[in-house]
Amino acid sequence: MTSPLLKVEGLTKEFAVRGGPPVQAVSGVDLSVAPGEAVGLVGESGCGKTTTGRMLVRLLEPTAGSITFDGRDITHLRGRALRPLRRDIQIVFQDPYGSLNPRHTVGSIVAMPLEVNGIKPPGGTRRRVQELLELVGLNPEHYNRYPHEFSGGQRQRIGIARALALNPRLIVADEPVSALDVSVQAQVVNLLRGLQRDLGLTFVLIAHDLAVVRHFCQRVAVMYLGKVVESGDREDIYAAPRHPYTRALLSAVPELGEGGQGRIRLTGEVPAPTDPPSGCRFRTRCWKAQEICASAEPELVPRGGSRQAVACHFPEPESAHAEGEAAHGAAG
Amino acid sequence: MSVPYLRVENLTVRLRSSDGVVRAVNDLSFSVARGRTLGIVGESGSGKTVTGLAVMGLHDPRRSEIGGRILVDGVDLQALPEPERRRLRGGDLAMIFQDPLSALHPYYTVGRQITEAHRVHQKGVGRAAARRHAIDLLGRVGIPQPQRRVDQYPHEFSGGMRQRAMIAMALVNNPKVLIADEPTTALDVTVQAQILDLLADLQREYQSAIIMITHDLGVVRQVAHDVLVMYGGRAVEQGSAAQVLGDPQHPYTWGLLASVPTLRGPVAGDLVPIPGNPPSLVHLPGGCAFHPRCRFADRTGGASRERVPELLPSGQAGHLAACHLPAADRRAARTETGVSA
Repeated sequence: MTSPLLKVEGLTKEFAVRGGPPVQAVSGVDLSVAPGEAVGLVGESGCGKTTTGRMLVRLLEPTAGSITFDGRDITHLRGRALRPLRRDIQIVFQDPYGSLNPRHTVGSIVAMPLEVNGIKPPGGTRRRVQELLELVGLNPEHYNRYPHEFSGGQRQRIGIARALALNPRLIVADEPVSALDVSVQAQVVNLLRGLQRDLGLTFVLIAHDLAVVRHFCQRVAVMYLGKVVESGDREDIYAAPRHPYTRALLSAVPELGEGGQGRIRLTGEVPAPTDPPSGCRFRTRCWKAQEICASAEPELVPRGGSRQAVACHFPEPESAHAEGEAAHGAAG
Repeated sequence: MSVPYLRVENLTVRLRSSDGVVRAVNDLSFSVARGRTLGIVGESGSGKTVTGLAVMGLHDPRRSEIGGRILVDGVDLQALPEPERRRLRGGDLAMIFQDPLSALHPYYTVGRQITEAHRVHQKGVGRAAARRHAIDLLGRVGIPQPQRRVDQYPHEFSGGMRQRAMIAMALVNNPKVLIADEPTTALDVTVQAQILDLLADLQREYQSAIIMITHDLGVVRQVAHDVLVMYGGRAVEQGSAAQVLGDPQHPYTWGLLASVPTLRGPVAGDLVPIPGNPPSLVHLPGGCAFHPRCRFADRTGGASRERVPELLPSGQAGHLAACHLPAADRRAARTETGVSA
């Protein structure tokens, strides 16, 4: 096993709330990303996946825990010391409309990271920007156009070109395709796959769309209420999810094809992060919950000889299909 | 086959905008029976929302031209005077909008907005009875503690709860026709599953005719009896859900099916996107609007550039498609796209 490019341990983020207890958006997340790998961070709104992503690129200051990038602790780097890190780790945002300055040309948007870092590429900035535009499938002649002249998919490509400008080693992509039309979404997913393959880039993809993650990521971590509840290889997570929440999440996706496990209907709401349940955070919505789930927090560890780590006292058997119907009956 | 309750015939919608005339809907016909769901599928700018708004009569008459007929239970809505239409709107005819923040009034409590819709349409319903009904509905759409929530403002609700509150508002008068415009697009999958189940339950109970506008083919497969695929303001394919999703006839439908990643099957290959972008409704391509993105356009002997294809029977009875590609070549072409029958 090669040493990980990114290693996250016990990562925690609290936001202060005026006149109330702090919101713990992320509570002790562990994550490890190997060079050249794409890891998907999935979960529903409020699970802390975006906050985690922003801490990884150091747009947010972690409250506790550590982030190690290429063997170096970057958790609390500040000011000037952050500069080289910004070259290595870049982010692609969800909103292709809000993340590009409408008053700047595409050329100056993509050149901005070079300017800020005082980099003079051999052959000139303009040449480098045109190379980048070509790399993401845009016409390099459109250098002087403004964001409004591009479609949503093209704008997302501009955002990706900007992220690539400094030859980063890790890209954190936060819902990069969720604002796009389906036919265009596939174009951008293919582009990201190509970049991973051709440039050997490492990705953390934050997404709520489980099918998109399955198509792009080799490994997946599922989050619920600020914690990773299950993580493992794509094949294992999708074929035999072991955490009840992962199963519920997968079964809720309306599918095009036939078959699939019985639907698990989750009831109730995600509890407030100001006052998370004791023990296992999913227990208030879990059909398997017992006393121990309220008293002891399950650790995220491999269980019962399987490779995927699952934070559950009563994980699904390694091949969940046989038991599927019974669990469904109990949930419905 | 039951009698269609809502029937739209040759609907045409033109909107004036600063860029020119938007030909938003062209010659669109469909019908929905009570207790049935029609899924309208298409990408942004395909005309699906404009169609929903036209059925509701929500286009500004000063800036729009609407042609064709919209019949509800045999009555042509276009011929009705505005006060009569208003009586239908929010009563027998309701719409769930995609964006709950702009559909809910920020100054009024959620409960007040639900009871207002109730009491405007049903004279004689008292304040207390309307409030009880609102609490009951909020509970049924899955809002916890409805007795407390009924007195809260939209900003105190989460996104999923706002969407549910708006659904409660649309359902307050047990509408006979419900137009749901991307009702679950902004929601998480587990919440989406709850809402889709809820709509199915209500449909069973009140026999509503539902139009489900969505870009999500998985949602369509789950809820729709019939499917209408729109592109560039026109129907390009129409039929039962089994026909359109199981034996698709139009290259655009093939493209949509091939570009969607799935939870099952191989992941080795790239997705097959549709090249290019959806067209602008102000400057629609001539001929078949899909031809610039269609890989089979050059197999039509130039027809796809010259003429808009007619919506003609294709495949099994009741299945329609608007494509110049000769029927005999369709199956082979579809195999090339990797979409199986």
